[in-house]
Amino acid sequence: MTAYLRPTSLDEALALRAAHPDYAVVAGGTDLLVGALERPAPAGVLDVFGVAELVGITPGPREALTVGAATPYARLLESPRIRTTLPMLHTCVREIGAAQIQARGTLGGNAQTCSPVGDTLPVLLALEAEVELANQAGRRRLPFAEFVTGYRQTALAADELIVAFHFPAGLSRLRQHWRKVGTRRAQAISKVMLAAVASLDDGTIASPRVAFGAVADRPLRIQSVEAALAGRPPSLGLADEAAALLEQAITPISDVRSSADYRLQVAKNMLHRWVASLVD
Amino acid sequence: MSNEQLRLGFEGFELKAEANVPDGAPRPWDLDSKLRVVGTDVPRLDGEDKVTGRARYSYDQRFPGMVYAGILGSPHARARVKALDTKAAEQLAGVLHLEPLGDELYYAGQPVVGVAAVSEEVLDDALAAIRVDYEVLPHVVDTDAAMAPNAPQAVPRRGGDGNVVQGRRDTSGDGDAKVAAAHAAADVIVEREYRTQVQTHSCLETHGTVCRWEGDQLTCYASTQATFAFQNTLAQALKLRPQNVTVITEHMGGGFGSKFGADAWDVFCARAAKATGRPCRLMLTRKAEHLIAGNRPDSIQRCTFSASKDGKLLGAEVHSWGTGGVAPSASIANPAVYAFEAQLSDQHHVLTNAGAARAFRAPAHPQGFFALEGMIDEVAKELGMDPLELRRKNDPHPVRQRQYEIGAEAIGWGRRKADGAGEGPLKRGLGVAAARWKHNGRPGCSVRCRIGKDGSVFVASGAQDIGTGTRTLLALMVAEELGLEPSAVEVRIGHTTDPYGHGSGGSVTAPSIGPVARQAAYEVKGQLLRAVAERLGVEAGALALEGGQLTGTDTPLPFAKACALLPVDAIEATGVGTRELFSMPRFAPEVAGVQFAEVEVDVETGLVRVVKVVAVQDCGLVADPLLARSQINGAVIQGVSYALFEQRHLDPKTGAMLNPNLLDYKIVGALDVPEIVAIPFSVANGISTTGMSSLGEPPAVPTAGAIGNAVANAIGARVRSLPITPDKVLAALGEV
Repeated sequence: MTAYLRPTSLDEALALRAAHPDYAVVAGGTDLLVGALERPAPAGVLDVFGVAELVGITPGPREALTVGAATPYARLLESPRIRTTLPMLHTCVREIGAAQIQARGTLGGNAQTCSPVGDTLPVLLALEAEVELANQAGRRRLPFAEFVTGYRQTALAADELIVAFHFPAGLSRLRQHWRKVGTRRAQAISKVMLAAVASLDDGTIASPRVAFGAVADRPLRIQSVEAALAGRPPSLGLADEAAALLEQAITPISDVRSSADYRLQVAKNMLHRWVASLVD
Repeated sequence: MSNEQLRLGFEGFELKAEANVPDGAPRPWDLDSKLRVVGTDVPRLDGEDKVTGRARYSYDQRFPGMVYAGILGSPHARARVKALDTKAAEQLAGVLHLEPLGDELYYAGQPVVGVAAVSEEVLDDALAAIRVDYEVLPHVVDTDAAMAPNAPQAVPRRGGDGNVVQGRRDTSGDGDAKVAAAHAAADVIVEREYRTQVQTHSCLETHGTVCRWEGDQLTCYASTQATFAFQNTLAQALKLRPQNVTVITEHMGGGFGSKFGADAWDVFCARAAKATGRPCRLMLTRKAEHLIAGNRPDSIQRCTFSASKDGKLLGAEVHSWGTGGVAPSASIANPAVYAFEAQLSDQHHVLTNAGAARAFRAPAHPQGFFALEGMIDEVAKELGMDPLELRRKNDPHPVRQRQYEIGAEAIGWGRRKADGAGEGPLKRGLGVAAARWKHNGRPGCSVRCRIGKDGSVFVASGAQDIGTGTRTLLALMVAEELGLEPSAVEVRIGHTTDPYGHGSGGSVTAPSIGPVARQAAYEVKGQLLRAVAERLGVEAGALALEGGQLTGTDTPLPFAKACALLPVDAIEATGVGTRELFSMPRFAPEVAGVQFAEVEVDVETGLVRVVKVVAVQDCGLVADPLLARSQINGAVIQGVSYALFEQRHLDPKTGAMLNPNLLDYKIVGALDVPEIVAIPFSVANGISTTGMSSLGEPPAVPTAGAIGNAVANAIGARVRSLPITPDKVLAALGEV
């Protein structure tokens, strides 16, 4: 038998987390339960799905937003604020699973699982979201890029829970681009994902951030590409240059969903198309 | 016997033929028949039950005290059981029955032990607690690897070594020389290799049954497409007489050719029910369904086609290899359809350590036609000819000739650009492919029809509904004959205590039981009219049933009032499917169909979207256009899935299936389903007294071929291997 704990408050959840660091933390269960029959059962399950402090979308100054870690995707889809401020997150979440999964899936769950094919993770990287973690002693915030430490590895300590994601101000001014290539048009695990943002300042690219999923052991920001794009006018030549730099930065693998060669080529094509699309 | 002149064919192509109609049978339906409900859209009678969940499938059967059975499958592709330790499992509270099922194992998933327990949870624990010591033996799961000279022998075979078994080898003329001569005389010769993948049936309701004994009488709620074959095979295995086994299949969740007789696990389920003295349910897991419940074999097809420069197809030579796992059953339908001067099909079955192939919706055809239709397009390209024109020039079937015109207009063939001519990155293309099937209605079924004194009408057939709408069709036949609405007819199907019906394989069900149901209604109508005539003192020949009334009397009588005149509580007739009922002249020797596909290919990602499929399909008389469109839609959807998505991945190293689920074994999703324009094309075909023919399978034949051709037209490069995945598209474009 597997123990099952269902705290109703954050304090209780943190106490249980400290007492049972070996238990699997579950939000909607869309990952854990799907694999339940195939994988070894965890020592116990700590279900935070109903914890009120972990749910909600809170506006901050200048369109900054905080999203509770256990807020179901369906809530994000209903939110006009998410749609206008973080359209790329909205598009991304809309393509995750179907209504049932969207009713249960959460940003916190996606981040903690930290699969290289987690759909929202490149978005969190490109939007420079911060993740807020808590244990009984207190809270800390770190950039999502620092939270991800390896293949399904994160900076989350054994006594910590993910509490929220903080999206900085001013994101709605950026051009946000999300594209997922999967096996089919819905309910498919990604082959390649691109999350990219930038603004155009007097015809030159400003604040470019480019993140890919499913092309390495973890979701990645591609700094070499960002550096090449920053301050330069978009052009087809620049798109070629960006694609060539990308090739040096990623190491996709072959699996049942696709081949390494395919992922590399398509990642380059996706980046190329995005940069080219900035040419007005 | 009486001779009847029939008018057969379709508008614009008619012929007269003389039919010998047996005594006591109605005049066969033809172009002159004035039909009232047959030929109209009649919704599936059990549609509402299905969408509301009222319909009870095998999976839904629950009985007090029911136990749950399951099987432990081999984790190895080839192994021998050295030692089996079931002690821990048997000692678990709630484990009621356990038996070994096999120790010489030729494929992963092959049953090793069967267990029955009080709950599914205990069952899972028991299966996990069984310890098996396997001697793991060399295996081969890959078709190419199995053909290599030093490959491990996948399964022992009689009459030879090696994994390659010669299959059908036939030629149209006097051997290979004729094909060689045809090629020699040709202006254009195209030589290509095509490949198709293994596709598993993936029935949404997995295989299995719920078994319940009362004394020596066994009742099985089986998920089967052949109630009587299930009864017979199960009785044989249990050494019972068939009448001691009742099979009930009122609804079943998909079979596609994989659910004929009782399987080893069904036999185990019956034994476990007997041993525990409780009803027992065994439904396969999704993983087992992929591994051991059947699949469509893969194929490697080396084709050489030739033609003269004016577009006459000359030679077609196909050498094929494919694996049906441990079953030597990888036939392909290639060449076919077109009037080649000479053709040769030289087929080989390759044995591998994987679950056995089973019949799968139009066996041999979708794989054969993917290559055949690709080759026709490739020949057309060499000739500089429109591929539709090449087909029309070489297709002898009069129905398909008309269907090409209808389909071309519906898809807008005139819009078709030169290969790869679109600007991109989203490029559109159009493709076409043909379908064929046999007229598979067969004698041998019976159907019982009863009219009650209260005016109720009841019809019963022991045949099942694989999903085509058997219930509705039976009601339709009877309603037409009795002048009633189909909803006024109560139907029972799928009980082996009712009259015999064939298994649903080869698209036989509707054309086989249709004429027999009509016959039963015709005979019971005769009884009714004679009884009423006697009561009213009129001539029976003057009476008729139409529009819910008895006519021919001074004032028409409502049907129920006429029935009230019966001297007994009910009258009944059993229509018998005699050979004579199925010996009517035929308009054409085969069922014809064509499909046109429009695709959009993203040349940057390789993603293919099927935008539209136009499917024009002959099935003889279209008894219910709504049901017919539903069959066509289903076939096209499954065809899109086969063309773009489905693929079983076996790990060559371990022999294990890497995607034994529906997460990574991807079936087409709702958003990937194209607009489908299903056009049932009615042909007065003769054949039987209803003129109905096969429909479930033929529209599954051409979809992948049409999509393959549309992709080639879109991108100007050809993917000769299914499924057409994005990486293959980019590879064809030279990008990866």
